[in-house]
Amino acid sequence: MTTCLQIDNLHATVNGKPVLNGLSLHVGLGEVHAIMGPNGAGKSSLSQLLAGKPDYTVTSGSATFMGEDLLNLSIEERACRGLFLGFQYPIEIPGVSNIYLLKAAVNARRKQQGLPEVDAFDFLNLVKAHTEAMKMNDSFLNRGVNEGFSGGEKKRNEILQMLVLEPTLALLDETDSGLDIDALKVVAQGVNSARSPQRSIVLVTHYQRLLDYIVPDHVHVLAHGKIVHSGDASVARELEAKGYDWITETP
Amino acid sequence: MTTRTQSARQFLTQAREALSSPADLPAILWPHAKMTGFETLARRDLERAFRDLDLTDSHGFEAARLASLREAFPGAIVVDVSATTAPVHRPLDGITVEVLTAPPHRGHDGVHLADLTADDHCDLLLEAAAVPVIKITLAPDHHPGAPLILSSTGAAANLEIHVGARSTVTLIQLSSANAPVRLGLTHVHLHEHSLVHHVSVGAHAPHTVALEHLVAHVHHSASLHQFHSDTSGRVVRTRRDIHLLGGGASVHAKALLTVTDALEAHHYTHVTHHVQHTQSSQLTRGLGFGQGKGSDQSVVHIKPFAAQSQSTQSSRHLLLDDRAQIHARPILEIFNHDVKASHGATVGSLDPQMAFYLQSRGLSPQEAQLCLQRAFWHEALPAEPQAVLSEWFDHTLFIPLSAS
Repeated sequence: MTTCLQIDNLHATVNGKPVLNGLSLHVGLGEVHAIMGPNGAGKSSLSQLLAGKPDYTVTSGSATFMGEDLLNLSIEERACRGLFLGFQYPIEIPGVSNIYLLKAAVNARRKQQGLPEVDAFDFLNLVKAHTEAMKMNDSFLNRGVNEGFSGGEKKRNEILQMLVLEPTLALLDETDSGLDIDALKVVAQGVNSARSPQRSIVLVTHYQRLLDYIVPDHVHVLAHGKIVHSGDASVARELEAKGYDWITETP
Repeated sequence: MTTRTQSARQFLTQAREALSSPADLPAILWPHAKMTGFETLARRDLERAFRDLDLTDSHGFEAARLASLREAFPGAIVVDVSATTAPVHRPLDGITVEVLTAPPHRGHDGVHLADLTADDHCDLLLEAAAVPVIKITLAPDHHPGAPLILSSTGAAANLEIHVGARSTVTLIQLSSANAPVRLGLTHVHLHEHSLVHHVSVGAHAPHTVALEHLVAHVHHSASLHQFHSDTSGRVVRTRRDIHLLGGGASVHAKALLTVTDALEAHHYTHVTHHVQHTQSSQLTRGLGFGQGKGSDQSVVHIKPFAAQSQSTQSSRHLLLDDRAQIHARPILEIFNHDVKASHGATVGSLDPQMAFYLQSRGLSPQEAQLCLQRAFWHEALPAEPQAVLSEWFDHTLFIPLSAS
């Protein structure tokens, strides 16, 4: 199987404080992985670091994405090569419409691929189809990015962006937080519809309930900045029953 | 020398004499300037500019720049309102254009000179120099389908606009000078139930000190939507005095303040609620590039009889360089308890979280910055004609600035 993401012994700090302490992870192309763990384990740090957030400093280790050194790429280069971060707290950007951002993002990726800009008519049809699938009103498209959206709407908007951008690797950071059960199902349907042999998905979550709807191939437990346990989907159910303590004792 | 006891008429006499020796003008004009903006102006630049004062200079700056904006309104009625040339216009249904070569004295007599603002001085200077007033009158119940473009080129502009009762019009005023100093004065009278969208854009030469003054009188149930911005000049000072004189009168004053290494800009807006049931909003967005500096002072004055008036102020500024400076100073002067008024002012830099979000979607740092800038200033644009202005400012000002 082609390797999509390979992380080896990654150490990183933010403001001098260690957040990743020798994390290693292998994600094959087409696989769905879930990373679980208690608060402060480093889950969000991992996804933001992989997306290139400048607050993080890698002190040692490596990360490759589709065989390329990920850590040497700029934020936008990572995105244009097909890495997508679904934010835990999507940012509101008044004045920049959702449709503008989507089109700019699609065209940025197409430019990197040597393709011409997307046809406006085709693009609109594509976006509208995904908008409908995410049970979002068309009027969302002309509103500012996440501006005035509820928590659930913001998360749905993140998944809408993922569907339109068709990434090779989607890192979904606590996509389930703040969702009611109906919204959770819609988001899960969106993620499941994106599953493909050509796409890997890494779900970062606290809770097993998301994994009732999106069944992962692998589940990892992250604690103290590194993976401390891995297994199949049954690990999530075990965590739900036992909590994290049995597996995350301080090293 | 001027003293506190001088009347405005004495000032006028003195200014007339000084016009023959312009080097004395700064001493007459500036000692009494009280406005925040003037305190930050580069005095040497001003003195140099006034030394070379020539109010008869009829040249504009980069005619193509404003022509591009004119072209965006192919059906517009264009009137040359340059004070130094005879107005050029074709017969217009419902609109009359007159030249008042003996301009009316606007009545500063009896006011102590120390109580006059620098803008008053400029107005008096225009009067002293006998700069003719171009008077435009829109008949009552008139609704031109196309905007009226007022092209104001040269060192002096003295404009008076009367909008008849129940009329609706979009006025696009384009100002441009190549002279060391430009003095521009515009009086707008909105009669009852009229609606005016007034867009004012300045594009002056890099060495020009421009002082623009708008005075608006808004009568019963009339509504003024005013917007001002400058794209070039050495120092640009814009003052807007808006008087809400009749019940139901309203003003929505927006402004886009841009300061760069080359352009220092100061906005001063003063809205007076004279009577009850009047409404005002002021919204300024500023962008600071390089070592640019500028200020925005917004004043709302609610008179004792102006009960149940409403007023909002928003002055927000974005500094895109650590060296840029913009001073925001919102002021509320309220003399009635039964009103609703609010204000807010912020000065900050681009939010790195927003930039990261956009870059994580594939936009380059430059694209992300331009996108956020655009989002920021877009709010200041008038609703009418927003799309045209948005594109024009983008290509004329912000894309070149961001690229540099």
